Amino acid sequence: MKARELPAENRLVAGLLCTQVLAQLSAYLDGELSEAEVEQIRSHVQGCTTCEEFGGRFATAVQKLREVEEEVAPDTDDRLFAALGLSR
Amino acid sequence: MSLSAAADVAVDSPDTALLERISSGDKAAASMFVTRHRASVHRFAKALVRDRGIVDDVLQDTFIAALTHAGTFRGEGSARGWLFTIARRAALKLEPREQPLSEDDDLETLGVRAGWGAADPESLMGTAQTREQVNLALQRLHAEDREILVLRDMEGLSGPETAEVLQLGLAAMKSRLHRARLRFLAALRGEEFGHESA
Ligand SMILES: [Zn+2]
Repeated sequence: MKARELPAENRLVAGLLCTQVLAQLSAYLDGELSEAEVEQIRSHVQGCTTCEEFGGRFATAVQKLREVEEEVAPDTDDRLFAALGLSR
Repeated sequence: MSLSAAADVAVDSPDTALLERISSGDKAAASMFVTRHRASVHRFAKALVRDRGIVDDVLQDTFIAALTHAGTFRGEGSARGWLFTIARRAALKLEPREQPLSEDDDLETLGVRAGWGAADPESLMGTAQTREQVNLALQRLHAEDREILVLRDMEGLSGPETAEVLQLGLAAMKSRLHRARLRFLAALRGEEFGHESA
């Protein structure tokens, strides 16, 4: 069977369109997909550079968020504990 | 509070135990609870309001309310979720939300802005991405995007907990999270298309 002609950025690979992969990236990362769905996305990504690259950048961006640590400035802390009438 | 009573509060006391003690006036427990959660609330407060000058107020109002109403925590869900709900209420009181984020853009448009199909250099998302760049990108986003990214990705709340704090259904929360992540990635790319009008 001849592959359907689609725009370069929206290929049909492994039975999934790139747009379908795009829509599922968060569900994929958050572990919300079934094994079969995960497998289908993996197969698509193996055959599609666009989704492989973008999926990787998307995952990295989310990972960046998870890694950022929050620091509270000492004077913010001082004001907070003073406002609450607490000592540290 | 006497020194011996203060020493009773174990550093690893669960939040529910601390809140119970706080509701009976235990200041050592209050200090421990505030120390444990202040960085998380501070981060969320920064996400909630645009005006940097009131972040401290949101932080203080949140803990004042939490310590005052410690007895109302019923232990359903996490104390963090409860605290974030209080923080959100405090922030909205101090700075009413500008018009809600319009969701006119389809996913493909958001994807393209985020670099979908673009030959971005590998270095763009390399390890060189500093904390400052992440924070700058977050600042360009609408508060609705920031709050969900902070709760779900930075603070690691579960999907249902995040939905509850934001008063959204689970499906609506997931849809908003995905869009917020795409807009965050776009902001990281340096595209200025934040929805906050100046
Ligand atoms: Zn693809």
